[in-house]
Amino acid sequence: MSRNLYLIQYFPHIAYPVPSLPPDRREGIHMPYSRRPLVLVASVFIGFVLSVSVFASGSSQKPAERSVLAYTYDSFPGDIVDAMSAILAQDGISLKVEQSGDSGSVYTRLYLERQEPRADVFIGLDQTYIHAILADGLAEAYRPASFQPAIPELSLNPDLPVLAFDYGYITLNYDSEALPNPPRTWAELLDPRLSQSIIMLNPGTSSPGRNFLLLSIEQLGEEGFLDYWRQLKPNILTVAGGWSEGYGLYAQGEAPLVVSYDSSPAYHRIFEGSERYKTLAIEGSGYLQVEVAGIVRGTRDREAAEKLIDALLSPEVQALIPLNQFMYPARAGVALPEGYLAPEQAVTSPVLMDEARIAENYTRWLAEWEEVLR
Amino acid sequence: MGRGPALSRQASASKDGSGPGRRPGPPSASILAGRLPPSFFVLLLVLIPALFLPLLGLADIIQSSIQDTGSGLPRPAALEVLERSTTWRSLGLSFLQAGLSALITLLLAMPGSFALARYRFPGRNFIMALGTAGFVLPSLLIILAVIGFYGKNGPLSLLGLELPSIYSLGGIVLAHVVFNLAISLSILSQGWREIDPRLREASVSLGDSQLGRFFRLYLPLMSRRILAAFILVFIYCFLSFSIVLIFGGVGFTTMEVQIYREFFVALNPGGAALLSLLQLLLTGALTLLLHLSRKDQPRGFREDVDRPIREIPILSRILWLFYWFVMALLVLAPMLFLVYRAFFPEGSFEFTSFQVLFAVDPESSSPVGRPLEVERLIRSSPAGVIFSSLGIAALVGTLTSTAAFLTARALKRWPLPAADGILLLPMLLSGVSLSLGLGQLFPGGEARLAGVILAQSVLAFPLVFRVLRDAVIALPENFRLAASNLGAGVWFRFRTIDFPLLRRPLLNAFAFAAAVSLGDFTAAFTLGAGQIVTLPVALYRLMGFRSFNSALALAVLTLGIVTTLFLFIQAGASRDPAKEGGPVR
Repeated sequence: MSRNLYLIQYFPHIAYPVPSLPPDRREGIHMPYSRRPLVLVASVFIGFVLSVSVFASGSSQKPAERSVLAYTYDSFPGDIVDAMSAILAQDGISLKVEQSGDSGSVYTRLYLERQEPRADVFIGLDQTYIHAILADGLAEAYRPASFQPAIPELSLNPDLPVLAFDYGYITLNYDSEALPNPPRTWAELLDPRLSQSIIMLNPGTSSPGRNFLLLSIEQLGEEGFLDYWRQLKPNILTVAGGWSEGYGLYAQGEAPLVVSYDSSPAYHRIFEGSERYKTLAIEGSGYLQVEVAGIVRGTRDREAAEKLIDALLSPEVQALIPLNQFMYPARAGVALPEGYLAPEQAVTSPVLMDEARIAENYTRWLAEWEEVLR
Repeated sequence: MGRGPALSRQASASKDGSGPGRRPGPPSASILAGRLPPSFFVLLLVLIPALFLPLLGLADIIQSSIQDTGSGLPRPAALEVLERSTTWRSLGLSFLQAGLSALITLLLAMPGSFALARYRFPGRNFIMALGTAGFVLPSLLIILAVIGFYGKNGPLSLLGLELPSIYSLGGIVLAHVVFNLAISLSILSQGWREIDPRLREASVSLGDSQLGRFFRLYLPLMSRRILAAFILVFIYCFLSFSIVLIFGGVGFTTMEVQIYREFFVALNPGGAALLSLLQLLLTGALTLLLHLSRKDQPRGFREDVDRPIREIPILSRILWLFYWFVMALLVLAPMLFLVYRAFFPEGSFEFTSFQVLFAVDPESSSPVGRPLEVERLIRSSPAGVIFSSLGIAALVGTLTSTAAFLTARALKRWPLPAADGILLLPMLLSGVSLSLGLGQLFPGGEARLAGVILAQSVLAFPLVFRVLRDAVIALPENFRLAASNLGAGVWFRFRTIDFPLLRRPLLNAFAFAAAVSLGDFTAAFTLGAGQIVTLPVALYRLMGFRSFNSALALAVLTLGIVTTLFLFIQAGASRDPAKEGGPVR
């Protein structure tokens, strides 16, 4: 009854509803059907959780046939996966590839699953992770008998249970329209005319950035590199967190020099028909960046895992690497597409630092470098 | 998954164990009587999938790292990260840049939100739509936009203007303003709309000055909204990663950067997960504290009925023009610059990037070698990407705004202390922690589509809830009571009362949920396991392949679609319900 009185009292004021009534009193009033919202929220969420579970159970049904599971990063080319699938299918093995995140997330998954591994093979970790793979014992050694690496450095340390499947060099790239006369030596790079012209990549968050810092340490010496960076600082426009950001700025013309791969200009040459972007190997040097694959320790089917590695290193698949990955095939004797590289810019003295030395010193180098660049 | 049963138990518990639904009584009494109000369970239903699943993943990572037998790579003990001075310094930097960014964003948004709420002027909807579309772009494109426009080679520098370097704290703040202005404008202008115009009339007739009115009347009435917007923007900026790295330089290591580095340099997932938790605890504590500091409920609010708009004096007009000019320069110009870059990649008009995208004539677009196969690159067709993104966004928008509306209703009926603050917590999970936590729980990406939709809803929920919460509180109960008494059903009531009165906030909520979904990279990328290709995933793949011009073209296409979409939503939101014979008149 009191409810109806309330209505009669307030109904005429409908255009300016209840301005004077304090909110707590309003909320104390009982409403019919008041449980509906609760039930609706509940059913929406339960419905959702149920559908998630249904999806989950649906996709986890494994085919009965022989299969091999590989982890790789998201941007690993589909063409290469397809080619490997075709090769494995000849042996009646089906290839399942889980692509997620960057190589960092591939490593993290391997590390977190080290007690009960799911995957048989990992594809696409770079040097940042090789030492940890070894120390954590995440991989089983495998050396395919018939494989000859393109350059001797790729045989890596024989103790390492991983295999290089492609490589490239971390160098500078330059924009020949904005910078017709690029510097050729480390000393020329300090030239004041290059003020705010270099986009560096953060060695604390990016593998190419890390390798460029290592290149400078190897080239300028552990005593001299900090001093060099101190002098170089005015020429650095910014330090990008990842390769995409850094190269994006460079490709948009924000700065004429960027830390990247020596094979990056091939993209512009082949897909855009542009000769504008060029490799700049300072004094012919470039840090050897290697991408490796390996067999996960505790694989359920070692033979199938070996077959997958063989397929990755087969001439057919290796021939796909230049135009899909913009890296060089690790297998000797695989031809590069025509016009892929401008020979005068080639890296002549590749640099590769000992992994144990890096593991021992990297945190300190990074801290010192940051102190200088701060 | 296997977590369904636990949830349904919670739901049935809430069905059985609640008194207040049956017998009305003040909610505090039910707490005193040892019975929890039903809204508590609503809260749990939202929070369990939102907060605890990712947290479970993080905890799992920490536990798994502690199990380390010591034989592997020598890693710092998980707890050691807390003893480092860098951890605490990076926290300080996070608070500094986020606080400054949020403060400046709000200062800039205050006058604009007032104008959006009170005046009708040409381009009003377009400003909001384009601003919201900016919210959808991945941070890399915001970076490109800001640097492209304000950088050394931008139009301003070429005009000879001597700009301060954007590679500084100023650049961070600028990029964050570009990113967050639209949400602030939307939340604040909703607040302005709800202020009863009679209060202003009273203040004018009592002879208060303009300034006095602002401080004595508007500011207290708006403080809830200002606080809500501040917290939202603060958190978004706190968790920002690429923007901070590129503008802040090497010294500017915020907490989010520190978390990533713990992975990358120390290869220590346990430590990174612990830092994520620490970050969550601190920002969560701050959010709750800010919320507890304000207990009062909104008062004197009403949904707007468009009143005749006052004649604006000429001086004010000039000031407004100047204000919008500055805002356009700050926020819209960088975005429009991206559009310019997409059509004029080398300084002359070219359509090739768009042609490549849809492979209209791939042969002619790449004279050397083979054509760029965008479809293979992004592993879906560009049209398919757009359709699936919009479809997922629509689902997320519907799901989230429904859940937020119902939660807000439940909380209005059964108020719960600090519920508003608690419901903001899910958004404190940063991209890194979210992908860490969810990636750990769903290693093979088993959840796929449903998982992506659920995760995006979770990400959008706090924002959507903020947009709806005060509007639902301001909703007069007497209409509903009358309708119920007259025998109206739930759906009829929603259609004829709630929806017309809440049209603008509901549609705004839907738009923002859709925007969060369209802009989300982490959840789609982590849970979609590469199978679900939304626009940010496609952009990421194009940029990863150095194909920046096609990425730019796709981004501009996204901007166009999203702006159009939001224009429609804005138009729907600002339609006057009175004209359709709604209940207002």
